[in-house]
Amino acid sequence: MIESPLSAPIVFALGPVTITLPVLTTWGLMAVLTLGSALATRRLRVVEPGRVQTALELVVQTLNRQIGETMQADPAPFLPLLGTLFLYLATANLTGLVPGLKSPTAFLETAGALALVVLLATQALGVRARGLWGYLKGFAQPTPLLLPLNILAELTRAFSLSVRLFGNVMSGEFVIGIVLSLAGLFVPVPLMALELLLGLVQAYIFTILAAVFIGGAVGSIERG
Amino acid sequence: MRIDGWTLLLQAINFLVLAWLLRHFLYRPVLAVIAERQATTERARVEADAARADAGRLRQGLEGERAGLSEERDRLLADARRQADAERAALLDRARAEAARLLAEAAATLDDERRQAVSGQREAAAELALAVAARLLGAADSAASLTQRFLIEACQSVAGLAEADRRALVEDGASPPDPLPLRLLSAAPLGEGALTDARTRLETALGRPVALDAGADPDLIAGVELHFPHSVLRHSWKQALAEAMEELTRDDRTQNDAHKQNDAGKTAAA
Repeated sequence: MIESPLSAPIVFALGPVTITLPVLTTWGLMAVLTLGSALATRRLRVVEPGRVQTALELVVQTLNRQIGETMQADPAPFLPLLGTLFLYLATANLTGLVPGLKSPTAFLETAGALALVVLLATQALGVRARGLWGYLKGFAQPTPLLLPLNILAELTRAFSLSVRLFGNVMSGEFVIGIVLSLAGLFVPVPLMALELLLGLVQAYIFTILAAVFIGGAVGSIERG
Repeated sequence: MRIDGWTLLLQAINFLVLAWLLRHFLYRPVLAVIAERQATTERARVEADAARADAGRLRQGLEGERAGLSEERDRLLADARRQADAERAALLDRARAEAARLLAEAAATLDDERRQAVSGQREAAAELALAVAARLLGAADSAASLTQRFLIEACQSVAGLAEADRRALVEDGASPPDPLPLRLLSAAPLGEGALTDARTRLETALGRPVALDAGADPDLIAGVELHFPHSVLRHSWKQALAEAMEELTRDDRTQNDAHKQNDAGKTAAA
């Protein structure tokens, strides 16, 4: 039986726990991001910062500003979640462009896991901001008749979030793979450039939608 | 296609761990340094505002002081100008007074010199006139007859004196000798007849005998001198010219003395 290309290949297993390729790649990304951050922030200076520090400050400040403008609230409490979401997605989406590697987000498990995290974080932050009853009452607005539809919408939003990400990244890699196998070595380069842009756009879309969902849950913006 | 539950779970855990790691190693230090820089910038801004405010206050103070200095300068200038005007006026007054005094002194000196010159000229003129008159009278042939006539007039003058005056001519507390010795000086020698006539006239006038001792003195020009024991009766041109000279020069001496007294009074007052 031929293995489905959409299934995550198992690299090894630790007892019942199977370690698949996206998990392994994610660990690698985690190591790169964490070590890179630790090294880059080792000698931060208030006066006359270096190029790396300036780039880091630019990234963090841009994330902070985008989150604040989207949620219309203080971005500080949401920066670790949403900022990490964007940085991980951006790096993970671009991993597929590296020969021999495959993007973790091209597997439905990764996209689903991220969507699940966003869904749970949305509920948790909503309850924390508005109280359990106040948050739950929001599902019955504007009329209790819409309660099932609101709950369904909450789930489908997360589902669409994961499927959008998975579909875009997976399809891009598939197209590049097919063109590479059919045309030759340098033909897919424009498609790879497009995939580069697509990966960043998908990271941005996923992060902004997550910010909108969380902002709606905590009440800082109108619920979508 | 199937969904691997372990992968789903591990990826969710991986993401949360990554979020925690990045929070610790990326966001927190970067946000801290940004906040510190903003605080530093804010401090610098506040300090700059404070420095600007201080500078503004200092500038206002300096402008106030400068205005005060300007007023003080104007006041000092006005005072100095006033003092200078007063000193100039005082100097001018002193100069005018000094000039007036010098002018008065010069005028007085000139007046004095002019008077002295006039007096000297007048004296010279008088002396010249006397010399001319003496020469003219001395050269005249009538000197002898004039002398004789002067002798008669002198005897008549003695006769015309009051009794007390006549007595004073011959007496001086003691009784005069008898006959009374008289020295008769004449400009020209007198003849015996003239002498006898004169003796007779004098004895008549004095009421006692007279012993005449005749002599000649050409300096008399014309006329005689009667030398009594205690007094002299002069009746000659020499005496007349001397009296004229005295009369001519008396006014000048009087005026000179008066002016000298005035000048001495002014000098003492100055």
